[in-house]
Amino acid sequence: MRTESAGRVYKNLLRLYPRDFRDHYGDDLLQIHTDLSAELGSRRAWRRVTLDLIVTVPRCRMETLMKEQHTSTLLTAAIVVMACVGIASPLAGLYPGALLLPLAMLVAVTQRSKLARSMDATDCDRLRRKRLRVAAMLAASLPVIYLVSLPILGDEWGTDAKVAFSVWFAVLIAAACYFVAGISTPKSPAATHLRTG
Amino acid sequence: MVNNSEASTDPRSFLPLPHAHFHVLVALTAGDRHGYAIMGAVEGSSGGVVRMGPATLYGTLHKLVEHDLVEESDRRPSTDDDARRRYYCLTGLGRTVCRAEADRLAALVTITRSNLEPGLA
Repeated sequence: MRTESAGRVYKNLLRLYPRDFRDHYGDDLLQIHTDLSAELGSRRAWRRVTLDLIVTVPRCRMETLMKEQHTSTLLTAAIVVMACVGIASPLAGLYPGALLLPLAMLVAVTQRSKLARSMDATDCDRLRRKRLRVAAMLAASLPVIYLVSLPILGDEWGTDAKVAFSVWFAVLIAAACYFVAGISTPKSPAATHLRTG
Repeated sequence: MVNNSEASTDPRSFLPLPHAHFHVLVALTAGDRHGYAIMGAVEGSSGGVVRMGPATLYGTLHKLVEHDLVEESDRRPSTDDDARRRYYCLTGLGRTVCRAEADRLAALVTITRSNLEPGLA
């Protein structure tokens, strides 16, 4: 892979990191990728940064999430309990319990609005759009997954089980997009301050 | 992104240091370095055993800056270097913590040697 296109690919992969992290260190990470490619060759450089991505992206995402959510321990605990019950109840045959999963997710997303108090208007708008996008993703994927699951699961699965199955997958898809695809992290006031200060 | 408000000033509260943190601090004891130079120094000082990836390095540096052990440096050791590179250096607290961790490890080495090779300790 040519250096320029390799740099572009790596730059796009950096979008997997939380916005604060890539705003602050993105240029440095790109520079290191260029240095590594020049010293080790493209293949070895890619092996190294790919392993690094696999290890650090989930860790960075989790750390950001914990930092943002630490303001309300009680609410976070409630979200975790709802999510656990939502996952466990269908396993115990209580299929409607799966409905707690999207509820937990929506509460978690809404909790981020607390950040909006210290944000400017642009960031508030961005956060609102992201919340709407997650809700739309949940709403749109639910019926699609339900319809797809009908022939796959067959008649031995009851309607409750199929709904629970669809809810699980819809939440999984929305959560994956929310946390992994880089649409989740609002620009924090601290990061804004660093860039402008 | 960087918040020093909650940084502790008691060197003992940082011990034992995570391996990656100690390696980066050791790399910076030789002077101000940019990210890639730190990566190379860590690999060199560990005999190639510790190979940090870019995000691992900057994640570690971020935490060290947060804890006030490392800071960004305005000095440029080399005039022909890329001006966009960000250099880092140890703070006074970082130097103290690094020394404390080195002493702790040295004490462990002494105990290990005296237990395994009693005649040589």
